[in-house]
Amino acid sequence: MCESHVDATQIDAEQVISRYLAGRLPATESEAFERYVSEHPEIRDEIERTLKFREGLAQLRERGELSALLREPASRRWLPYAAAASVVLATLAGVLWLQPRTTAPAVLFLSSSDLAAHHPGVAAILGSYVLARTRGSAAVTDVKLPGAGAIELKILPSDISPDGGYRVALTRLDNRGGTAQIDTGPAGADGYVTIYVDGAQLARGDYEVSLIPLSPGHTRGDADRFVIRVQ
Amino acid sequence: MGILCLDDKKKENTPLEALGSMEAIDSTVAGSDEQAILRNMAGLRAQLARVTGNIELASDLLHDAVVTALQKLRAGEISDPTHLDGYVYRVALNHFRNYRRKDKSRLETSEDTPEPSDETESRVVTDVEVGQWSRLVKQVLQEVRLVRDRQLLVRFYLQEESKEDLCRAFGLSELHFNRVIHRARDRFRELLQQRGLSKSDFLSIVAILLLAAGV
Repeated sequence: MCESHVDATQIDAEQVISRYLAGRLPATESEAFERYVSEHPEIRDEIERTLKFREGLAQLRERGELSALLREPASRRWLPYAAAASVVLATLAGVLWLQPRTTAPAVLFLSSSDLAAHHPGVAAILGSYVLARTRGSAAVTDVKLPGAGAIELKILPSDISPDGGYRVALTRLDNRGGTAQIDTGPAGADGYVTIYVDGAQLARGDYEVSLIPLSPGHTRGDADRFVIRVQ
Repeated sequence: MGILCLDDKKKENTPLEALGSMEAIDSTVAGSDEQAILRNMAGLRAQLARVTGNIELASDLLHDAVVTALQKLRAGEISDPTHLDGYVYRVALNHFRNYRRKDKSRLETSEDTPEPSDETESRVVTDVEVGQWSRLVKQVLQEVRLVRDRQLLVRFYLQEESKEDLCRAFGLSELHFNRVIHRARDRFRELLQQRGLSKSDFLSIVAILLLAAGV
């Protein structure tokens, strides 16, 4: 470091001082710095202040006071946790809110064309089944495993939804799978609510199909429930 | 207080003949207000005490710097006597750097500065002026609103992390870094001035040294 260079860095003397004190200046630059310091009392003042500040910090650390100064105030310490908790809650709520929309389309569809759009090549309807509460009907509807195709489920509501819509859920009963659900429009002209199931998502076993009107005042207890046995 | 010559070669090269004896100089300086000299280099003395681990040795090193400067003056190696104080500080800084270099590996591998281990070292922490510095530093830190900025100051000044590393670690711009450092430094200077702990009276050192040198 030549004299002129030191002069040029005088505007940021703190940087040079800190590098010198930390031993990060090369030996030749350190010697030049010491020479410069000997002729500039204002730099000596600056060095003294820096060393006093450092010593003050060291004293605080030795007295165990420093760590407390580097922590958030107690009144605010809960804020990061609250913020994190709110993020978790918001994420959970988002997942729960989106779950029907994100999982249902993977299994249940409102039309064969929707299914074809999501799974090209699976448009073939390999079976159609009617689920209706009629006197003498079987408790369980047998469904042939469709494999790579789709099945059509025509569900007859026992309660007409005045506002039109229904929620259809498909739940595996042996606890080896989750629930897929989808919101539909009003029943068709034939009185049935029709949905399509991606056969590739089904496995052998029993499933519950439930249907509940979306209009206010209806609860899960009002659902029409059917069992299909995929085999 | 004795004179500590750390380097035998340096001692051999000292132009004692031209100066009379080292002891004579020592007694002359000691007869002057040496405490005033030490007080004006209090920050450096505190750091010398840290790197040597001995407050007495730190004082001896400063005293050696004074004697060396007087020798240089009498030998005609210092052309401008008004630079005598600067020369003293230069020599003292050089001592600091040499000890610091020896001590560097220990400081780098130790997260905490070693606790004072004996009665002599404990004098460092009981020094009245040092106690005032720590109170002022505490006040400066308390006035820094963001904890992150306090951590920045500690890591820069105490842990000696580089500006580049800290900017990277905290995700700060150079401008923000400079702002934090300069505000703290200015505030510390202001507080030192308010309590009469700021300005080093280097002129008085020169007067003392010139008197001791008989110039």
